[in-house]
Amino acid sequence: MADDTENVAVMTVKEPWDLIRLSLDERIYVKMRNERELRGKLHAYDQHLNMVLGDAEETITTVEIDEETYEEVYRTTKRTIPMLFVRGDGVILVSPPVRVSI
Amino acid sequence: MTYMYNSLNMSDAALFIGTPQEKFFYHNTLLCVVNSLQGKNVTVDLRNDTYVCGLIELVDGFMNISFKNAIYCDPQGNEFAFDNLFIHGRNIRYVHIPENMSLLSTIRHEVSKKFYKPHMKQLTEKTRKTKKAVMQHMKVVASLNT
Repeated sequence: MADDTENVAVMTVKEPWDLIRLSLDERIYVKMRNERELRGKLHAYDQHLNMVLGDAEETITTVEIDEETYEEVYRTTKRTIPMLFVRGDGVILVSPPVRVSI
Repeated sequence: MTYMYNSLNMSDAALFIGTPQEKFFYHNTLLCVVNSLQGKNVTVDLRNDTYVCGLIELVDGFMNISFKNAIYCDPQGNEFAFDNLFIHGRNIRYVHIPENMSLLSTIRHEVSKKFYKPHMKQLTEKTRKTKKAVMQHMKVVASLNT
């Protein structure tokens, strides 16, 4: 076993806020109300879950029902914003980016 | 209900913040970021899929924003220009921050420029009771020293 001195910051995770604190300066996935998702680098957050995201990409998912075939068509619209302040009352959840398994 | 009185020069306006809750929000949340954008031209996305581009005049503790020379655009592409526009904080979804801003230094600057002094007046307010208590304390201290 390699004996390397790991500089691991000892951070006791006591409450859910600590989990978000761990994600500071990391890329995160935010699920928001109205079928919106945000991916970006978490620069700042507060107790209301107001957040500042850098290089944010917003994905809006819409379901359109085809008149003829009556099938549901899921459409997504994306846009990128360099620095975005998100108001906390729209946030549902915060998570590390959803990784697609290989 | 928010009551806002702004002085004639809007920079560092002495905001009369209505409730203690608003005061707390104003000084202790990421509102300071939106606050630092006062006097800057920003785009604010609203909850009803519309957006406002304009100069932020004032922000209060509930994130209500009053704009100057604002353009209100709806998803159909219609644009309306207003000299003054007020949006309720609850209707905000996003605020587009200019990317050349350094967040940390802005937040530090905002937090440090507190013109809010924590009720120093109460400490110096001498009621008869406190005056009596202080006198008694001095007497005891004097008797101990002798």
